[in-house]
Amino acid sequence: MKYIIKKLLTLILTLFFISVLVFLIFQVIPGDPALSILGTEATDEQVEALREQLGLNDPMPKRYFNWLTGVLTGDLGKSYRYQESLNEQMAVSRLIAGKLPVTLTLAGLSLLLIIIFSIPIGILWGGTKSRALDGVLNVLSQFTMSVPSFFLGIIIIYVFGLIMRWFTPGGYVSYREDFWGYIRYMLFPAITVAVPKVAMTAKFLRNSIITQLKSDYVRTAYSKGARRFRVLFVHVLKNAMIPVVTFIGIIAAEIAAGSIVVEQVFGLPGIGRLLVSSISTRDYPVVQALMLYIVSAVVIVYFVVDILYRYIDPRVEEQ
Amino acid sequence: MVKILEVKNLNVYYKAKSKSIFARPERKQVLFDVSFDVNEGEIFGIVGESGCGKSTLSKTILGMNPLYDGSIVHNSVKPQMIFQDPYSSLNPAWTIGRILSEPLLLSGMKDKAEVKAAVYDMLGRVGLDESYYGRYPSQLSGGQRQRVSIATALIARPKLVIADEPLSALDVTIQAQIMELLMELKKDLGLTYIFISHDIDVVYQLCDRIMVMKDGRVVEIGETIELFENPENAYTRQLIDA
Repeated sequence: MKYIIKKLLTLILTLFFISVLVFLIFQVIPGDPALSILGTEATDEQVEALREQLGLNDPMPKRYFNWLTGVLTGDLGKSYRYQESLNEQMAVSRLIAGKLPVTLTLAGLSLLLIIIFSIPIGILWGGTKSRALDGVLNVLSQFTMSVPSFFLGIIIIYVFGLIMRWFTPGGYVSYREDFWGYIRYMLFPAITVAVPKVAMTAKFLRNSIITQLKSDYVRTAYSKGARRFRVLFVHVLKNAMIPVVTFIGIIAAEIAAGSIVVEQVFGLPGIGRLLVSSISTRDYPVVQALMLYIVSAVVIVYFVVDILYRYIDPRVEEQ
Repeated sequence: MVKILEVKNLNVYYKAKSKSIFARPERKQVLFDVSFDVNEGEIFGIVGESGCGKSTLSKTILGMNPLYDGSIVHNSVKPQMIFQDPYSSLNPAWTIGRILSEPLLLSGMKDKAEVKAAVYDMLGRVGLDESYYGRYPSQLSGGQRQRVSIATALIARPKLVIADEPLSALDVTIQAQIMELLMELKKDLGLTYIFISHDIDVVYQLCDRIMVMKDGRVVEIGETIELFENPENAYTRQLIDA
């Protein structure tokens, strides 16, 4: 419990520094938000009035504080570009809330696929004595790791979408309309994200198992009379999984941050695509909010991994 | 005298790494025509330089090395082994209680209360109290871990125990304690030890008979005192003088 509180305080402190950094970066970027909103034809008086209204003339600490209060209460400002109606800009929080479920579903499904496939493959790979199987898996993993995801996405669209007709390419269905249709469509981008990560994770687990199998406690287990199957599953697996949990954590953080390429290839309205379009249109409030989300997601996932770690590795306690 | 272990004309091989996956795996012989007997109740020492085949021999006696010919007959329960390095030979993810329970569970004991009672009894015999049951190896000192290793080896009540350099990873003061413990347990439980070491002084103090090995072959077998006073082989003499 003390450990969790300590980690939680570290997390909060980290998030605070991140917020300062994200805020400062967007102070330094040239360009006047008031001018961006009003356009080049606005008069100086109009710009000055809006600057006053937006609080841009306040001193920096006050502006940071106002911004942070906004973030914590869910007010991330208004998009420069997206409009709710003719004369009202869309709130960034609403904009992201519409896109985030797609990215999170993609991340969740991919992570599920990674765990379901990489762990059995890794165990089989690490536990096998067959050099032929080891060789086959080695070639297969090298291959899947090296195929770029946009290309894998195109292949999957071609094979499963155009030939097998298991889904309609580009025919994204919103989860509000048809939940199972949505999951069914999301499965294919999730496979695209998962395939190279499955290969990496399986290889990582395999190496971890092989290292563990060489250790002395395995020899002790054999001398007690344990057989290979028992040694692998009862003795080695838990020790071998410890570094793999961290590895999966890193992957989870990566995919929670959104897969820009895969969202683009499959035409998913997720935050990856929003990020690309916001950067190209200089929609800074959106970029700022997305940056805050991505960095926070990574930090929070690492926090969860740290907590999980403690439950599977008894040695963490005394360190 | 009753013989507890008889080894006759033992040849042991290892699978050598083949150069390509298509080549037939080659065998590399590591023990050559090893024969010896161990009498019940004695301490039988095996000495030799590292790499002479001592550890291979003990692994083969325990049935952990399938590639051999010749005969190994042990007239008792399955022999057990105490390993050299108490830091790495215990599973770091398991509690002491679980480590000690495993040999009993593998030997078919089902009743949980019975297993637990046996584990507590064994902990007491090696001088550790019941509070150690729930601890992890990383929370123990080297000497305490070696006590756990000894308890693990003895809990299934073997008659023959192979101790592979059980002292060499420990501090000198702890070495003496562990040695004393091993002697006490030998008396209490009626054990026979095969004591593997490269330390000629320890072997001289402990063992009734000694077998000297070199390059996978037996050089000389004899009573300790006789062997030390009157070594027949030049290599044995060299080892004693060193």
